[in-house]
Amino acid sequence: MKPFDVFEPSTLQEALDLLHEYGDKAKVLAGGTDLAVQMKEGKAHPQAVIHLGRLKDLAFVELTPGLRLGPMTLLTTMTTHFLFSGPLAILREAALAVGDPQIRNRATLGGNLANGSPSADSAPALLTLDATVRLRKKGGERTVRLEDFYRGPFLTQCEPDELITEISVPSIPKGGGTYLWMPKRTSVDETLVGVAAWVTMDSEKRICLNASLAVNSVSPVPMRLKKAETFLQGKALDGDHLRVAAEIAAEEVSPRSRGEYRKRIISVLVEKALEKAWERAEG
Amino acid sequence: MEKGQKIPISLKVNGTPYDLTVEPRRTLLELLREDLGLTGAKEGCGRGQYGTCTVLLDGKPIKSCITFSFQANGKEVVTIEGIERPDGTLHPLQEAFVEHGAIQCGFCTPGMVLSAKALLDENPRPDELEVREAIVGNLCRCTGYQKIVEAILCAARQGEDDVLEPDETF
Repeated sequence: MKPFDVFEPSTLQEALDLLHEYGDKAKVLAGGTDLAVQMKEGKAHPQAVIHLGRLKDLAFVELTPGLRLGPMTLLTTMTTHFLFSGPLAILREAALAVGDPQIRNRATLGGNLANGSPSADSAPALLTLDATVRLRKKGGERTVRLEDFYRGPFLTQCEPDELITEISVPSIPKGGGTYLWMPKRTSVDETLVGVAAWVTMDSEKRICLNASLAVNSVSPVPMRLKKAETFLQGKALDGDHLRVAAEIAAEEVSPRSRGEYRKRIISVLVEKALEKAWERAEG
Repeated sequence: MEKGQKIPISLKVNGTPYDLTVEPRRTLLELLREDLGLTGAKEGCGRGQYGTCTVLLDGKPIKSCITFSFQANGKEVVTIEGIERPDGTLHPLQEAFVEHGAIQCGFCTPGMVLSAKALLDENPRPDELEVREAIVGNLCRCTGYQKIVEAILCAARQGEDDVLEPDETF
């Protein structure tokens, strides 16, 4: 690994000043579970590393009545926090899908998103909830929809001088959701296929008023499955409709490898995720 | 700051305080093994997958091969060398591993024991699934998982009497 300078800002402003100064010569270090590996493998060789470890203010979980999540929130926190139960267990499941206990004790939500990986497990669940990402830089701030945040594999809207300062769900929709995934059979258990589903049902819990579906690992970026969602709107979530939705979903994705297999798994997981989301949804 | 400059860090390792200067790129695993001579944590893949480099950072298991040593600044590290009882005898988890034959080549053992310790410190009565989930980030290539799980469950059962008080391990 090449030598680098490390900076440990104690305020957000200081961090933004450093990013402004170093831009793409710097890498932001949150937990480091991705960055350290990239640096060891020679895929990243920053001149400066800006370690956010002192910015404790960026680790928060708040119900507002929407949801505000700090980028430095540990994935372990998301697996244990009382808020991520009931319908919002979808976010607990998403965090649990990442790595293993040791990784989740270091890895952060902001890092999982900022890394831009097509297989980021926190993305599909947040996509179904219409999450937004707040980006700050020296002298500026903007909010982008998570759906627009991803530009391509390992490419995001986050410019080199920007920092994610908040991940928000402006309003938590009625209903319930879940995230299901299947890992590759390798030592890292990276997600081969992941599906998040959120459904809002009518008062009798019979007709689906609204369905959100999102996937990872089967397209260049985590994405919503708009066609399957549109199909489900106003339908009963019975066997036939679930099957058709699952077929539509499989046609919406574009896996880079093992396409046939991944599409079949997508179908299976979409059906299961919708069933589970329906179980969790209140009328 | 100049290239290759060293930075000061302070940390506790197995209860002993250290003030050190380190190169930013030095991993916690390198610091422990090469600078402090604590070779219990092993480098497996060096990519945060195998878990043989697991140590406890402020009581939580982490992978020291993908943690920069400056990330441990101001924190408390516990390695396998630091969990014996005050009288120098083995930690009950270590004893349980020995008794159950939960050690084959031994390479994964320090990490396994520390992941198990973190589990039992937080959840003294885990069920089998909880044990398996706790060690999912520790690979044993001898594939002796069954005996490892049995050893951890056994250590937890013994916990009623004398063991697994976090304070006792220093």
